[in-house]
Amino acid sequence: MTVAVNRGDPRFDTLKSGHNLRFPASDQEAADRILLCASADETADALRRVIAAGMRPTVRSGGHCYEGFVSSNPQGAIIDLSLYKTVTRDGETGSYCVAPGAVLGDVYLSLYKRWNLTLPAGSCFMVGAGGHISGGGYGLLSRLYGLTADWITGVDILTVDADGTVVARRVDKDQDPDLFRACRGAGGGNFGIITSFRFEKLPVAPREVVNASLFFPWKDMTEEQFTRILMKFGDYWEGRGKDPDTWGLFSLLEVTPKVTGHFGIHSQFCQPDGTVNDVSVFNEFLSRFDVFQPMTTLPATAPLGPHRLNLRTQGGSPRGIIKRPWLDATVGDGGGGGPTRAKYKSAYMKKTFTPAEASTIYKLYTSPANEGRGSVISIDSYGGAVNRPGLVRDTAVAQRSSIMKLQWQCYWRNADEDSEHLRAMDEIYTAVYTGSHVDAHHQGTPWGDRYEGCYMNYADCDMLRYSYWPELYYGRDGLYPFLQQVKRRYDPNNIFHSSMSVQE
Amino acid sequence: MRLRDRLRTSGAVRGFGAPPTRRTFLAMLGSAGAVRLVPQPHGLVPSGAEARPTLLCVGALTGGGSGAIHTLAVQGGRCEPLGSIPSEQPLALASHPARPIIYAANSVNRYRHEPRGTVEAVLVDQRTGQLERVACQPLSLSATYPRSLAVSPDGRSLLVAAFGGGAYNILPLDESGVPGAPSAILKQVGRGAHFPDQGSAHPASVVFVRQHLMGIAADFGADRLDLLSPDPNAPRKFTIVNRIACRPGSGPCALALHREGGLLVAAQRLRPALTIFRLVPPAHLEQSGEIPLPSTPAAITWCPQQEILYTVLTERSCLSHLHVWQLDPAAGTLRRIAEAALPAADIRAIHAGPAALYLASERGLITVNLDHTSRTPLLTTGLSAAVRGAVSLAAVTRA
Repeated sequence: MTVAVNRGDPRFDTLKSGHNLRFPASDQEAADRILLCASADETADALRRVIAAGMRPTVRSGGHCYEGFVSSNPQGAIIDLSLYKTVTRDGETGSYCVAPGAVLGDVYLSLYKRWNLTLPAGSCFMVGAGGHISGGGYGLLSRLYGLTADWITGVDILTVDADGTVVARRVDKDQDPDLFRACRGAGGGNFGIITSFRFEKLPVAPREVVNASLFFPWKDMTEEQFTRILMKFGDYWEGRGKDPDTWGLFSLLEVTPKVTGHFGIHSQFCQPDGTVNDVSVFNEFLSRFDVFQPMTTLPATAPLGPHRLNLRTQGGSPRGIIKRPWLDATVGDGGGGGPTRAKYKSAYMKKTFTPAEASTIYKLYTSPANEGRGSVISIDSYGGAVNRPGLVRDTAVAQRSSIMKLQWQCYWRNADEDSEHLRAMDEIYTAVYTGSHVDAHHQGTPWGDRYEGCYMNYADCDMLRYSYWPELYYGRDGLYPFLQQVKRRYDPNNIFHSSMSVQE
Repeated sequence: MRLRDRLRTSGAVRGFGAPPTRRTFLAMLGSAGAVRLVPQPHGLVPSGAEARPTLLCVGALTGGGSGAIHTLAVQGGRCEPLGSIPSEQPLALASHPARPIIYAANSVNRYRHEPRGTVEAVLVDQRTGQLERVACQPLSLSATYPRSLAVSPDGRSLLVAAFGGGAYNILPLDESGVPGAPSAILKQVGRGAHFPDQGSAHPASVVFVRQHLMGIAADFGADRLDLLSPDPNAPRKFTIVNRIACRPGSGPCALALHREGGLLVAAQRLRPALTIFRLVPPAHLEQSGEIPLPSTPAAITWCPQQEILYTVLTERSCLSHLHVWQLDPAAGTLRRIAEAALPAADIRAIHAGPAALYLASERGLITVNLDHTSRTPLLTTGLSAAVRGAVSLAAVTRA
């Protein structure tokens, strides 16, 4: 039975917010009602009631929306699916079915323990499947297996027709194929409420992986050295990293401000067969950085930073490599962290770093002015199976040529610091994408020969100031106009909307 | 020679009566003649007399996505430009019942890069006619392209119809008339027979019933009228208390509420007609008649003093037609008593003063003097080109 949490309910103040405590920005901005649903039927019933009341529904699965698309809903209703978290197999079709409220950690555990399968999804245990998969969904196995959205073969979705009738649809490549494609990566909150992701088949879970971290002290780091590290990292993904035997390698270079003492590269590898019998590819990658003499462990007192790999390096082993069961490496430490105030940005890169980019990042992250601002750049390896031909036509993910994906993050605690952190993040990001390495008409944004725009799951409302923002998220090869058609057809009243939803 | 004398007084057109065919209607026009515009820079229109001086506020689109709000002093049919301020897209204006403030519905779909329309509040100096923008309030997310707005009789709420976003917003007005963030957001669903024009809900026109603090709205997209009342437990929160279905595919686009509050006329665009409703308390509308029209209604208003309704119909040619209707209050029907052709096809709003009609058109503000007794048009008309691109009108009493 649907649980309704209204203002005045003791649970309301806790449940009105998601993971990012910046939202709602005020009590007035908060939703009036939170409806917790544990099944597709309950969700449909809740949606009917919300529509009949003339309220705006926003939809929450794990609550990790980076902007206020869900929690900022004045006088509206949040349909919370966090109690709807089944991971099952359809006895009739054999499809694996993931409910939107299932968190990724539970999805991994269920798929692994029941069927020895997995999804190439994200690394944060507590992120909900609903939003994550709707936006494409990528993670440590994506270079090996592609995006989560690439594996979807069907979607159960509730749409609202022009009359306001809630319609339960099962869409796939044959039934409502346009809506099906749109559900494969365009982002949540656009067309309806997905009540189940269906997969006819899924990749076998790796048996084991190896992890390693390399740490680079800021203390004596010169701009020239820093630039070489970034370019050496990027060169790999632009070159050797395109070879299929490397697709089991995932790595992130995490740049933190100088005040943290170090920055690092954190990596995971398994062979395409899911074993680590031969780690020569891993060693080959790590050896590229030997010249910089990185540390493989940190002093016990050193801060670890917010990186998203469950890394526990092992002193004494070559390059600190540690072998772990894949499941342990994936869900072993839970991860995800608690709610905080945060801002995020993103960039897809098709080529390695230019000296100008690296120089700008160096200056910004070694500047005393930025020491207290807590911003971090996670530079993730990308490409591999994600970039297989044809996927761009079948899914709603346009970025199929990139070799790295950057997530800009900033975390803080106090509301009175909001404006300063938001301003600083915007300035830093804009500075990196300003210059001769960026197309003249797209200064300040990752767009052009070297870049492929931004990731909708790392939504960033700052980008709305650019009239071409849909291109940044959906490319310029007709995907956005296609999504607009789907929007008009399946959500003609624009029931599901946010400041960055597909717009007419 | 007065135009009235040249007009052919048409026979009574009662509710659901047979409409004139296009051919007969054009023949009527041919015999009726046309109002002639007399462009003058200012100080127009000699005859007639306003009961009291009025400031007429005119919303105008100035091109390139910009707009302006102008004030003109009107008295005795005379128009004198007084003030002007930039605006965005002031497609509709409404005045506060007690304060010299007008509200403009900016028909935009972006506010600080988000998909929202906006409402501006503009303070009018009743002595000089100078304007000062005192607020720009964004509407709710996705409430885009607002097309109509109305202030509640108690001056505490502003009802806005967001045509593009398919929503109503109620904005609370503080003691000085400044609007706050929406206190009620009512997202609408629905469709009509004409796709894509009626592919979704499109609230197009709103009015307030003075006697009952109830709003009435025409939803062009969903072919219905919505009745909105304050929530008894939260006066700033309105809810839809009744919906009245209109003829499928009719496209109600404009409302005019008789001053007594008991009679409402809805102009329908897609099946051109006037539909007449009686207001049945507490919140019901009972249709008392329907009059087919020969062309699309563009503007509608009641004469404030008498039982006269004015409508402007748009033809495909460069002409519009002014129709004058006499109300039979007992029967709840309208009888057309006069008509005239106007040399403009883009009239967007009409305001009836005691002595003249003011019509907002692309060419400027058209003044049509009225016969003092019959309230029908006189020959003498004027054009104030100072307000080119005029699309909306509202009046404020002059000090």
